[in-house]
Amino acid sequence: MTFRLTLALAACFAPGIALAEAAPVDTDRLGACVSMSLARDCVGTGIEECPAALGGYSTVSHGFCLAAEMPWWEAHLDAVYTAGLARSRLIDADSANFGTPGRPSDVEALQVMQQAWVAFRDAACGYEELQWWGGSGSGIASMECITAMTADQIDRLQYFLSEE
Amino acid sequence: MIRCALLCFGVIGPVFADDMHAFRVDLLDACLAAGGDAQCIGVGATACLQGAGSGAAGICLGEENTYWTSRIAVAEDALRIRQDEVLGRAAQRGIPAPSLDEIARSFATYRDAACTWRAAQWPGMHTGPEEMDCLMRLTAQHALWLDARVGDL
Repeated sequence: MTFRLTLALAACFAPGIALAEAAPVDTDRLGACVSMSLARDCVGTGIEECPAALGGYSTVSHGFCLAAEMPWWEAHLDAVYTAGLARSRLIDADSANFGTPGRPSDVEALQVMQQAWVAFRDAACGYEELQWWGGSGSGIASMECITAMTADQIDRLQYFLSEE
Repeated sequence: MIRCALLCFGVIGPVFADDMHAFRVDLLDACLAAGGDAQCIGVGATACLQGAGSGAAGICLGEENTYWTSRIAVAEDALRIRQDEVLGRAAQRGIPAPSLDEIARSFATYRDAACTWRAAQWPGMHTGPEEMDCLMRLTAQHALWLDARVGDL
């Protein structure tokens, strides 16, 4: 999805391919933020200086900055999900001490949940993109939606995983 | 849901009967009107629990879940007015267009999978309230997302 959006942006703003490469993301700031706050509140903190580095704020620079930050969020979600899978494997290995007897595999339940989330995210963000279709804001709306939903999913997984 | 709520109410009715401890929609409405957004999630259930005690967790969370579910219905009705235009535009361009019903279905599938996963990790009497807490939070977040789409109109 990120790759497709980046290509779409590059196609719209062909001279901006150099901009895409130049879009800076402050991953240290993002990492520090999510260690202290909800992920949702950290969206965008890695690209606060990005538009200035691309010559100033514009729809084009904003789009490239958003696209530059998205991979960090996808990687962070992947890390949290991987931690969740590790925990689920421990639960499955010691199922007698978790939940009701005969409970289904926690690994499978987590995988089903994550697959369902991907389908929901794609439907919701596809819909949001359509609201702005035809304007330069449609790709931006989609990226903002995907990043926000990714951050929400990180927060939910962290919330669920921190309860025991 | 209603049957469950009635059953639960019957069990802890004496504790919950005091009007002072009833679920207060006005707290949520006021929070949202003040721009609280996601910070408002749980405000109604928390106030309800403070009055009624932890034994009413299922009821208080269920009441707030009902509040957010109603909010989703209102937002979907508002968005449906423009749906034909949006889907028609997508069809002209030959792109897949998720309808409100598809979003609702995919959300329900995700919500149920997430809350089943979460509830299964809790033993016995904790299962119900944990599942309801999960349902309420996910429903609330979806309601706020739909509210924002109504704001885009």
